Amino acid sequence: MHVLAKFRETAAGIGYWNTVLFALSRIAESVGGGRVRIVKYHITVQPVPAPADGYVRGGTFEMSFADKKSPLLADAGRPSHIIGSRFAQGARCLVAANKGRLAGFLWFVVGPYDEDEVRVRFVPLPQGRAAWDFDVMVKPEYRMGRLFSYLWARAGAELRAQGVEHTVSRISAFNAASLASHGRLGARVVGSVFVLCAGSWQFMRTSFAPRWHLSRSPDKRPVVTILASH
Amino acid sequence: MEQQDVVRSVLRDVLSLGARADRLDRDSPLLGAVPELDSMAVAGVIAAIEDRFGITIDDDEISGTTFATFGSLVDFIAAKTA
Repeated sequence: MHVLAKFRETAAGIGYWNTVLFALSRIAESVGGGRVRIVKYHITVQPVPAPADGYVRGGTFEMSFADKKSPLLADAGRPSHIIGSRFAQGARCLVAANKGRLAGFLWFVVGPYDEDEVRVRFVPLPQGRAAWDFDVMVKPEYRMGRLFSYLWARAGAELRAQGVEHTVSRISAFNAASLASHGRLGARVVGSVFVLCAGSWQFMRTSFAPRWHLSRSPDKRPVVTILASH
Repeated sequence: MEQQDVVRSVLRDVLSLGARADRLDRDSPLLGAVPELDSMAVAGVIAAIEDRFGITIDDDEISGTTFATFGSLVDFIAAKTA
């Protein structure tokens, strides 16, 4: 496909400015050998789904909450130190299995979440009534089935039982399909976060407070608070 | 209404395909070609099919091949209702 036609097609899904950023990110990763990265997230807020008993049970899938020693997570394709870091933050991982084999998972945490792709701490508010949901994975062979709905409904039931009314998540601004999918969950985009990483340097610009942040130390992490509801 | 017209109607309504639903023929690819048909929307399609045809679809009966084309989906329902 001609480059211009490809640009127009991508821009139709994610907008011209994000398409330019996407192109720059690809060039930066290629030229910088992975040391330079451009990341942009849309921050979305979605309601915790209403109870749907038939889906909460998980159909023919075995649904459970994993701990860091769960053998199912060994097949999740996530580094063990990342999984350990998530559990250390208090995150929970809802796992679905079919005949003992991993079929999909979904993570959430009621409280702050330290992003593992860039150095940002996301804080969903109001405290106790908003959760951060992240890293939803459904194995390809189950994507044309009910599994995502089972995971979402079961996680929703757990969160509702804790008094949580909304979840907040970040999705890549370069992923039109994910944005459309979240829209079908009733998600609304409430802001964005742009991050430029160059070696150990990190520059962040966001529509939320603190608006921008520059750091070099791996220990420096801006705190981005997102109010999901009043 | 013919069975495949009912399937077409389900896809139009659940996925909001509009006039694109009218252009679906047996060979029209669904999976990967209809962006609206993703893992979040498919449960709604399955529920609507169960409702419209009065059938029950078990989790292990459906896969990507069921939704490969419009024709494969119509054939699946025809087999279930036979």
